[in-house]
Amino acid sequence: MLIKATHTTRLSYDALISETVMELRMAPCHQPLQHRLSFELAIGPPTQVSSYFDWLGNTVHAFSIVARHRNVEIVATSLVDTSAPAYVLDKLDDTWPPAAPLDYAVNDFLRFDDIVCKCAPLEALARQMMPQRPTRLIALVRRMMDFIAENFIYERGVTTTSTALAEVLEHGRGVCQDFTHLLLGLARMMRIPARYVSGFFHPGSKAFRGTSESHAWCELYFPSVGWVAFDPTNACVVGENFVKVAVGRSYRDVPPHKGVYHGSAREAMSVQLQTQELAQVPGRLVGERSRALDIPTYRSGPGSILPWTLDEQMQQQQQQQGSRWP
Amino acid sequence: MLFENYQTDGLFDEMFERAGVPRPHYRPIFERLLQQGQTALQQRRHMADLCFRNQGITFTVYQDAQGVEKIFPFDLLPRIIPAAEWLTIERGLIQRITALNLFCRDIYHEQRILREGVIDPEMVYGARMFRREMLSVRVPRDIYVHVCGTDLVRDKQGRYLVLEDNCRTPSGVSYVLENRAVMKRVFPILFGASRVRAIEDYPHHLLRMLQYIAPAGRDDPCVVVLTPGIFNAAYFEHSFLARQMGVELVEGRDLLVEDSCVYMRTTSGLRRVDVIYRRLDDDFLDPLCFRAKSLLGVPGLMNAYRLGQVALANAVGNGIADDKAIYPWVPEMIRFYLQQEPLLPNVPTYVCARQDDCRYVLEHLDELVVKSTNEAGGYGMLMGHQADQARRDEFACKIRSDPRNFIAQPVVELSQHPSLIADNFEGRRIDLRPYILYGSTIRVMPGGLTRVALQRGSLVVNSSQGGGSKDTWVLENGALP
Repeated sequence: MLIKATHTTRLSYDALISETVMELRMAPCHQPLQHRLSFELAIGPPTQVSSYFDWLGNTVHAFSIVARHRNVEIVATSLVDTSAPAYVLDKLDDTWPPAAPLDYAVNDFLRFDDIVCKCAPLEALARQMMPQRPTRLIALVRRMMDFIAENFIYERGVTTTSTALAEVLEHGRGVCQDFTHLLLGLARMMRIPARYVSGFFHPGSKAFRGTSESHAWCELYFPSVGWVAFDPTNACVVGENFVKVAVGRSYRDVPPHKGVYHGSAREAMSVQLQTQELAQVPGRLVGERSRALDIPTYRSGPGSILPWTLDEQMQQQQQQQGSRWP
Repeated sequence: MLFENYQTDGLFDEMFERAGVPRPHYRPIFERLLQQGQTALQQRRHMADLCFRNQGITFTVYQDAQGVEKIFPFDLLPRIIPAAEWLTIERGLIQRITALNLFCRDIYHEQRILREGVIDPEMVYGARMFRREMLSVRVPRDIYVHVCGTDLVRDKQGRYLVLEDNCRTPSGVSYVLENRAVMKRVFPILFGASRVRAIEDYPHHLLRMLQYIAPAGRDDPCVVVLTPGIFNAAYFEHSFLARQMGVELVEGRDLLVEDSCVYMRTTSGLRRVDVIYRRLDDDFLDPLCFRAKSLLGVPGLMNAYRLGQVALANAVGNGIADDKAIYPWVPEMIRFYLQQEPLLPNVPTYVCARQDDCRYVLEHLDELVVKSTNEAGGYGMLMGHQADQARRDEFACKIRSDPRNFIAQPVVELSQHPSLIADNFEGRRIDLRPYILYGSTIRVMPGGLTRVALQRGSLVVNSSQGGGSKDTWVLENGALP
């Protein structure tokens, strides 16, 4: 499927800020089942963008805006060609537990952190779902997905990007990120390596949850074919209308944008994502490029106020462990 | 007088072969002390104390009711190491830092040592100081451990053993230099006659090393020292080293990143920075990459580093090499990377992450020293044979809940050295932290910081736990008659 996506992020501040430093994970992955035909990044105020691959293989774009400004705008436009995997999911005969020990790098995705956290309710849930005898891996995964679909309610505004799994288990509500963390938690409890995927999808005519913004889903490790994607929010297998952008251990590894700035201002954010299916590859592709958006910077204005106290400074200065006095 | 009641208590004594008989390399100083007598000695002690106070050479003990700024107690009698003995230490240290550096490089790239089953991958991937962000990142000239402070002790037989490595941001070297300056002033004649190897060129070699790792094409690289700030225990040292090298001392807020390069704010505008000698933990370096709440770091610094636009010393992620639970494998690293036998042995260590070891440790808490794997400075430590039952129980509980975070070692009966306590010399336990620089060559500063456990019978030499220090004299070849 040929998908064109325009991902627009607008950040605005109620006072002048300076020294915005930002990292973006917005460029779709380029891999066998998903070709990134073109990617354009337009950023304002104008700046230089550099890019690198992070340790997970994700493409990261980084930039900074030193001068004072009140708005930042980022428009990422990509064209990707996706195809569905050649295997039939329900015919995969991987077993649970796995027949042979897995590679340690894959096992790194079994670890819990403070978002996908190992907590009593999760442990109880895992005990309840843990099969008593060896079974087919895909059957177990389907059961976990069904369980989540039956017991959790999709609802916006209940959670934030930093909501931990423990809280989601408590009130049973959340959005795609929370559903994804749930499946990650459950899978890891079953010792199935599981990773977080950030991306988006083209809804087409079907009613999908989580449209017009970024989406999140999971990849679970099947020794026979590698990472297999599942969408716990829509209780479905991930098809060719899904575009994968970045993978990580949890949301924290893959936020589409992440930044810091100087100044004490309130931030307001709006994100829009538009997708469109194309019938054929356009005659001229932009390749990979960045472009400047005409957003103003200011030479003068109130200097940035440092929001922290001396006490916090002192505490942190004393917290250095690697450099303790001998 | 002076040494009359001196006891060696069956320990290895650095100065005396047996009661009243000094080792050959201590004979000149022994004779001189006896000759000059008590009054002269007390005078010199007074002089030395005054020097430290007047120059404001201090360190900080956090949360101390008596005020945090302290003078590091200085012990007048120097520790002396003969040339031949030093040569062995030096070769052993060079071997060790070479292996540790190869280990860091390997862990963040090919991971051969894990793939070939020498070290259990879980030990590395489960380490708190393992920085996944550094995987596949090329660091300038493949050097990770630019400055290393390795703690050496001597056991009852006088064998040198490695107690731990400090590969992140080892501190204390300013004291070595200041101790020496004071000694020269207080014992000018004795010092002059003793043919002690010079250490004063350390800041020069430190600067040369830092310039060596600058990004390619930067001819006259700008080097800075990055400090957490005035409240840090080692702030004195940060300012001292910056001054000695003639470079700027900066805090995070003095730097900024633009177009992937690091700049320093100066009174005449921004100036590009090429090399940062950072005395800040990894966690605080860049709020964008690590701890988001860090107020001390530079946002975007890791991106500049990743792109090779700025060099950091020491490299990010070295905590994997001086993790106390990785330490037991250093001899294996030496064999694996260098195909050599280790010249300086380790202290036997039980890793609580291994079930058998953990069981043994819990059963023998009353005879072991337990250490938290990522703490330093004598914090988070249990001296099992000296602690009471309540404290041992507290540690047993901690070990059970987080075994990966603990190791244990048998008590090493550290060697002792005479210290001037009131009017007489008494034996006190010591260790040694030499400083090693890894630049175009590996250079070990002759000597290092000899720390003294000033409380009688104590085995803990850390300054925060009542330790002091003394000057360390490495003699030149042929210095002894």
